[in-house]
Amino acid sequence: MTRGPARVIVAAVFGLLALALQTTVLSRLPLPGGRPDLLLVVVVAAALTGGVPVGIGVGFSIGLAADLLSSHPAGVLALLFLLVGAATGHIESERERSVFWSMIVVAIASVSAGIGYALLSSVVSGGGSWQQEIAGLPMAVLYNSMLTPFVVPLTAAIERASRSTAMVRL
Amino acid sequence: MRRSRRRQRLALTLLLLACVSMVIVDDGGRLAGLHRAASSAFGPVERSFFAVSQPVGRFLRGLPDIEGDRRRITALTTENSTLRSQLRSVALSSAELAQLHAIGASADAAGYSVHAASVVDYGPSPGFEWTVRINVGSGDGVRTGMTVLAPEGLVGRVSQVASDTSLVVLAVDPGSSVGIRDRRSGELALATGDGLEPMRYVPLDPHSPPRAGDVVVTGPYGRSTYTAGVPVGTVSAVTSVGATSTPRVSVRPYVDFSRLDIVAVVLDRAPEPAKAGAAATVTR
Repeated sequence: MTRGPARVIVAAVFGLLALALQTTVLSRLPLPGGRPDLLLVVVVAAALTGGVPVGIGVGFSIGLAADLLSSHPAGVLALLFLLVGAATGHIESERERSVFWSMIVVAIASVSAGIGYALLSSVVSGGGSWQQEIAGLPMAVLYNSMLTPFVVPLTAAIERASRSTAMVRL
Repeated sequence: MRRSRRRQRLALTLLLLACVSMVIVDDGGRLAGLHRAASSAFGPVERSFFAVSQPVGRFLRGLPDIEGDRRRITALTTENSTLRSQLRSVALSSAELAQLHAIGASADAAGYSVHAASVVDYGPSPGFEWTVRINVGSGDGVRTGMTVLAPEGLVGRVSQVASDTSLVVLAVDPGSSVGIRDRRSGELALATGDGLEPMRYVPLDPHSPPRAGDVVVTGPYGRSTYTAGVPVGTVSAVTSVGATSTPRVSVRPYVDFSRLDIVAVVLDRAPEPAKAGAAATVTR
């Protein structure tokens, strides 16, 4: 695995794009029952392609950025996405890369994140109600799984491209 | 291999500790400066995205309603001509109207100055909290705690202000409560948000429940920071649970919170609970 500033910059740019896409477009779609969570799918996709270190880094950074743009205390989503990234990164070693497989992983991550939201929102001020989190789970799983076939191959391509750029630079 | 495992575990532990300490430190709002800086930095990115997505989004959101829109246009045209003819008759008595203004009977309703704004985005954590970001900020005179309206009624309250955007916590946020007044009975109550479900109505006096169809407006209640007299919604259902217990009351808000677009921030009127009484209205 190559490391280098180039990879971090590429990851940051695409993280920002995902954040902007989530807040300006996806969060305002008038969909029944819930909203897709692109950030969660991106964290899972990054961890599936890059393993634990990438999962941890991307999960923490995207979560913290989303936290700072919200009214709830910073660290809540960072904590949640960090755990999702770390857990998903462990699965990467099995080297299974089919889209169907990643959709299942995203579905499991969405359920776990939903339960995590529910737990955290009962602890932290400014969060929602846990009943609502649980009620929104089925649709969130559906929407997030539908995003997966687009996000995972794109993330893998970016990862490959940034790796080769980093090689050239070094 | 084993060494990198250990380093990963160390990094995970450190980041977890960082998250937990951040939550603890920020739970009292002590990192507000950091939130503000992030909002200001993210503003340009967001606005360029919004510039592209807004027309598309408006078009897509309008599509299911095209037929309804056409009917609404016809209805509005009819209403418009009726109103115009009424206006002509009202204009005759404008002298009386001027007198009324002088007395200040309508000062409460007319005294606000507002700043129009567009909803730039919804909060990044779907469902976790109900917030929107609007494209006006401290540069436009917006301050924390100001009331935000839509043409239909109450939208929410400004919770964070950056230089050119602000974060608005919606009235339907499950953590938000609005002090309200039943316009028919004058009873005070509290309306608590429940996401896209109707708001829950908790009366101050459990022995005088509202009736379905009652109009509720913002009113003084404890430390309510909302501008008084703004329409909130109508009582949609009153369900008695038992003979002795208080009935469950839900309020359907006038504003469709899933399709917010143009809103207005009430600028003057900083929240002053002491001023909320009737006496203040008279002395003014």
